[in-house]
Amino acid sequence: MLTPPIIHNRRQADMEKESIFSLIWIIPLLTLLITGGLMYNDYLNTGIDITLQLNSGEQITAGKTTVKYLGVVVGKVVDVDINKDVPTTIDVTVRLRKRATALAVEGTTFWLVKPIFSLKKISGLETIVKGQHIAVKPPITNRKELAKLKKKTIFPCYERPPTEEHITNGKRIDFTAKSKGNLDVDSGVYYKDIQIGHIADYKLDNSSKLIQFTVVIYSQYEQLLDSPHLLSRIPLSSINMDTNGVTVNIQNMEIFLKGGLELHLFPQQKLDFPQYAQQILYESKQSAEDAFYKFTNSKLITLYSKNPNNIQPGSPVFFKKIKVGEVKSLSLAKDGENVFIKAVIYSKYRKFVKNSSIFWLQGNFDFNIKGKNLSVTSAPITSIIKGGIEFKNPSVKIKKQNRKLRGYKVFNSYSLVNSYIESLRKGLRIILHSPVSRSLSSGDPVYYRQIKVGHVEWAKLALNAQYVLVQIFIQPTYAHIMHKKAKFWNVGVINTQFNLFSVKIKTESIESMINGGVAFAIPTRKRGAKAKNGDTFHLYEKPEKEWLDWSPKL
Amino acid sequence: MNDIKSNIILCNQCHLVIDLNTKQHSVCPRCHHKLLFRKNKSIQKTFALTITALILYFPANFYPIMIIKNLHDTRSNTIMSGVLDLIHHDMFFIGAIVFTASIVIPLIKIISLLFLLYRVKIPSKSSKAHTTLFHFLEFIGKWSMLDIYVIAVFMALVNLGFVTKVSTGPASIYFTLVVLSTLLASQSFDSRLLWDKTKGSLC
Repeated sequence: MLTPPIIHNRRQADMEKESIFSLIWIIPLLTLLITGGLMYNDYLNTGIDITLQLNSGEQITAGKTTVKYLGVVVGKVVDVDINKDVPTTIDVTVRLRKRATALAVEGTTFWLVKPIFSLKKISGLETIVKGQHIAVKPPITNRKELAKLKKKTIFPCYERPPTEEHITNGKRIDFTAKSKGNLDVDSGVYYKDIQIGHIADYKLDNSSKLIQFTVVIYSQYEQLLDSPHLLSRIPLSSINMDTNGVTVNIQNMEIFLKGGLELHLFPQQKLDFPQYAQQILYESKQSAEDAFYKFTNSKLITLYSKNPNNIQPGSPVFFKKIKVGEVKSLSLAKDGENVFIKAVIYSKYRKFVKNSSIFWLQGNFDFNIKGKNLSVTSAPITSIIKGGIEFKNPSVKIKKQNRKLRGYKVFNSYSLVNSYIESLRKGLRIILHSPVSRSLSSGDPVYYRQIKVGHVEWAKLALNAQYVLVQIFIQPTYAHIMHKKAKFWNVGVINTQFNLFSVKIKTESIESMINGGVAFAIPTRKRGAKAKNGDTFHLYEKPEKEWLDWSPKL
Repeated sequence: MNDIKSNIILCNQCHLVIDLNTKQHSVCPRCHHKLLFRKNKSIQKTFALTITALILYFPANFYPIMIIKNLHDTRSNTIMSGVLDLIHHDMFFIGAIVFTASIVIPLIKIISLLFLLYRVKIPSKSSKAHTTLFHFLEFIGKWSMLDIYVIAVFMALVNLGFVTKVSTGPASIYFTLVVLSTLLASQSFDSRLLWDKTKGSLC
């Protein structure tokens, strides 16, 4: 017996089977959507693994340290481990996000971003709070071109940021310097006190032991580089001493703290300027200018000297007290006697150096006694400290110099030069015999009637040691005076004559008082034939009275 | 002969047996729960939840379940790599337990549920064995949470502040959801359905 309610219940029981769709299917659908979405997102963000090689794994945490490009996280460190082959290298495995995989190409640079505190710069402050991160910079920014580059998965990771990237449209110039000094990345490059660029990078070159700087000159100033130019350091302070007084220059605070470079232009010069000269950092403006003249068609000369005193590379070469060149190097000659001095004469002045030029060392005080005047000449102060070489072109014709050593001889003092010039003249050379040297030496004057007519060229002991030989030189204008019967005596000693009433002090001149000298007289009659080169005479200690009265017409 | 044919209904809530032949009820006279011969939409619910479990099973095994952070090192383990780690450290027994509880059992549960649903549609003679299988699934279901407990205990024990830190990975959530959905699936399965279409009914 079936009742309606039962049918109702039955229908209910049957209806369950009929319903095709139940709300419960939302659960697997949602699960599929959410899980699928999350996994797809993960797949999108999972790019490739690359390895960065570092010297230290300090501050790098797997799962924490991020890799940022333009401040956006593009990857994460997933593993930090020691390199299998090189135990001093740390391998940092970085999982780059899918979109950043294009960065894993040749030329991309990675570097650690650390906080930097210095007087010059404070940067990377965010790393204190967030921890270090690794920054990345691709070689080019165009995505299509990036894709063309060779793929790479192992990169070195630098400790320092690479060249600044924010100025891309400037001109880069490289140059080398002996030391880093106060320069640093970001130090400015100035021209007429206007900043036209900055140092972008520097590194120590292992082979040459020089510091290599890279400088960026901003694009609006690029054309400055078209004319010959040189870079020099800006001295922090400079003291100038000239006739106007003493000027002390102190650079502005920025340069003082950051250091700086100065650009020097030589616009009017259209000389071919060697490229390598522009790739050197000069220590000062002066040295840059010197270098300019040095590199532009300058003349290289070789000098030699037995005793170059305080000459050193960099010592100036003067011509009429004006700096025309400088010493480049010193080297010992093969004979061991002489020192070779290589010097450059700036192009401007190269024509002043002639075959007949005579060089001498500056830096000493020269006493010059001319007639009755005593003059003391001193070299410029710099030459006294640094040494200096001066040269002149004597008016007389000079026979070819000693070419055995292939160079110019450097005399040790100007007075030697003078006597050398004298000795080259076509004068008369005669030899005096004397029992003692009577303190005569090379350069001492020879007087006739208290007029200097020549000088002593040398004094030396005769071979048999019996007497001293003194060669004297009589200037060509006076050569005809000399006759064979001439009498010579020494004037080096002050002649004092005592008699009852007076004391007579007699000397030839002040010069002879100091230097000593030789005087001679020619007999009025019987003066003999004219003397020839090499004739010998006796040197008396003092004149006989009658000699002084002789007055021949010659 | 079964309950539907004899018109005797069992309250799914309080298990009171009600004879509908004497008096018609739409709700249970004792607990006022809606009376139904079979659990509401049992097959669909079970099927949907099993599918959910199956979907979640993949990320649960793909993502790391446990992340161990040292001072410098962060290691993340998926379930399988954790098992391999244990075996690598010669802990075969624990490895085997974790492997069984975390990988084998959920998989068996999902497959079995699908199989039972299939058997509801296409009955066979061995309905008794199927019922046994179902009760076995209900029993074993609780044990699949073992892995989650292991991680929970591990986290509490090994958290040494900044030195070492254990935290759960995304897979732990997926895994929990797998276990939960299999539990719910087996709960919403009405084992009586296995018998409904059996020919040569026992009663």
